[in-house]
Amino acid sequence: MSSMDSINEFADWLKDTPVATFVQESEWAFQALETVHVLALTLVVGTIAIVDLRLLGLASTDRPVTEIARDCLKWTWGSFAFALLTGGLMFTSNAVKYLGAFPFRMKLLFLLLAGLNMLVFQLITARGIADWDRDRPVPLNGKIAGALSLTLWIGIVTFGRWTGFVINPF
Amino acid sequence: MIRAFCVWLAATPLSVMIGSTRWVVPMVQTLHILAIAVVLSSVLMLELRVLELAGRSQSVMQAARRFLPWLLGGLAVLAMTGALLIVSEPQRSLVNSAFWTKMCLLALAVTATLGLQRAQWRIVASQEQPCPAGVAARAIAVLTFFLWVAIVVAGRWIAYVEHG
Amino acid sequence: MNRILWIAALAATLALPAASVSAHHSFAMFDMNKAVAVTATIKEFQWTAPHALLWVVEDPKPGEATGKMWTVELSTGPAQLTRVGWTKRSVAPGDRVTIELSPLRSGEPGGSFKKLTILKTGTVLESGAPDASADNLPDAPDKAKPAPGQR
Repeated sequence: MSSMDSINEFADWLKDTPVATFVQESEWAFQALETVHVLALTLVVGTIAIVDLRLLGLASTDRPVTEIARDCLKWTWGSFAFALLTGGLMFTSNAVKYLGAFPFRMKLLFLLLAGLNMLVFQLITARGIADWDRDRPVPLNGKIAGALSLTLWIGIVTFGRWTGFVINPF
Repeated sequence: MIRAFCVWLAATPLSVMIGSTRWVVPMVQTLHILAIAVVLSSVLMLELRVLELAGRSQSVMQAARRFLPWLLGGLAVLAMTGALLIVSEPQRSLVNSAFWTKMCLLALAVTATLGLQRAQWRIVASQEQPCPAGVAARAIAVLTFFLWVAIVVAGRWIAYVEHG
Repeated sequence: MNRILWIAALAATLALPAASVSAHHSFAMFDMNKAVAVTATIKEFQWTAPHALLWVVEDPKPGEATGKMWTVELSTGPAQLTRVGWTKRSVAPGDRVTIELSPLRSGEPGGSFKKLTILKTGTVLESGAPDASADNLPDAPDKAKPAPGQR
C-alpha cells in the first residue's frame, strides 16, 4: 500500500469520527473555527512580515534584528498554534475533499517550505548574527530568508482563500 | 433606497466585469486579508508599546513613526479592496447588518487607536523623563486591539449573515 | 482630525437602522422561480452545515464526451435535513439521480436544490426547508388557515 493510499484511508476514516461529525453537523462550529483561523493567520503573517522587513533592511533598521524577533515571534508562534488547531479541526470535517483540492495541497507545501526556510535561517544564517545584528546591513542569506518568508506566506494566504472557494463555492 | 443603489451598482460595467471572471473576487479578498495582516500587526505593536510589552528600546513616538504609516497604508488598501468587493456584490455588503456593524466598529477603532496615540505623544512631550502609561491608557490599548479583532469577526460574519 | 473621526463614528452609528433590512439568507444568486431537472451521477455529497452540498455530473449530451458538473447547494444543513429523513449516506458517489434545482442566474452549472430522485430505488429526497419561491405563486393556498367547516 502506497503512502498516498494510507493518507486517503486515514482521511476517509476521519470523517466518521465524533469530532468530524460535530464540526460537519454543527450550525456554528465551522464558521467559528474559520473566523478564528483567519484572525490567527493575519497575526502570523503580520508579525512575521515585521521580522522579514527588518531582514530585508526595509524597516526598523534602527533596532537590532534580535530585538525585533524577540518582540514579534512569540506572537507569531502563539497565533500559529491557534491557526493550526482551528485548521486541523476544519480539516477533519472534510479531510478527503481538502486533500483532493489543489490549492490546499499547495498551501501545505508552502507551509512546509516556510518552516524549512525558518529552520535554515535559525541553524545556519543566524549563527553569525552578532556581527550584523545592529547597525549593519543584513547578509545576503538573511535577506533571502526574509524575501522567501514573505513570498511563501503571501502564497499561503492566497492558496488558503482559494481553498475556501473550493470547499464552499457559494 | 439602499436597495435601489445596489441594483444600480450591480448593473455598472465594473460590477459586471468583476462578476464575469472567477478569479477577481478571490484575488481582491486575498489582498484584503493581507492588508488586514498589516493593519492588525501594526495595531498590535503600537498597543504593545503603550503597554510596554514590546519595543521598549524606542519611544512611543518612534514606535508611531514605524507603525502608523503602515497602519494608514493598510487601511487605504482595505478601503480600495473593500470598495471593489462592494461593487462586485452590492447587496451582499450593503444590505447586511454585519457590514454596517463592521463599519461602525471601524470608525470607533480608528478613533480610539489614533486618539490613544496622540494622548501618549502629548504626555511624553510634557514630561522630562519617559513615564509609563497610566491604567486608563493601558485599558484603552487592550480594548482598542480587541475592537480591531471585532472588526475582523464582523467582516467574516458578512458571509454568514448573507448565507443564513 | 479627532472631530472628523468622531463625526464619522456618529454617522456610521446613525446608518445602523439601515441594517434592519438585512437579508438573513440571500437566494439572490439563484432564479428561485425557475426549475431545471438534471439527470446525473453523484460525484460528491458534502454533509455540512449551514448548507449541505451536492456535486453531480450530468449525463453527457449527444456529441459530448462527458457531461457538465453541477454544483447544487441545499438550503439547509444536517440538523434540518435529518428531520425530513436525510442521513449522511442518503446518497453516495456513483448513485444515478434526477435532481431538480433553481439555477444560478449567472448561467453557470449550479443552483439551489429542490428535489432529488434516486433512479434505482425511486426514493425521493426533499429539500427540508420551506420553498423560498412559494410566496411568489399567486394561487398558492394559504396552508395556515383550516379548510372551511373544520376546526
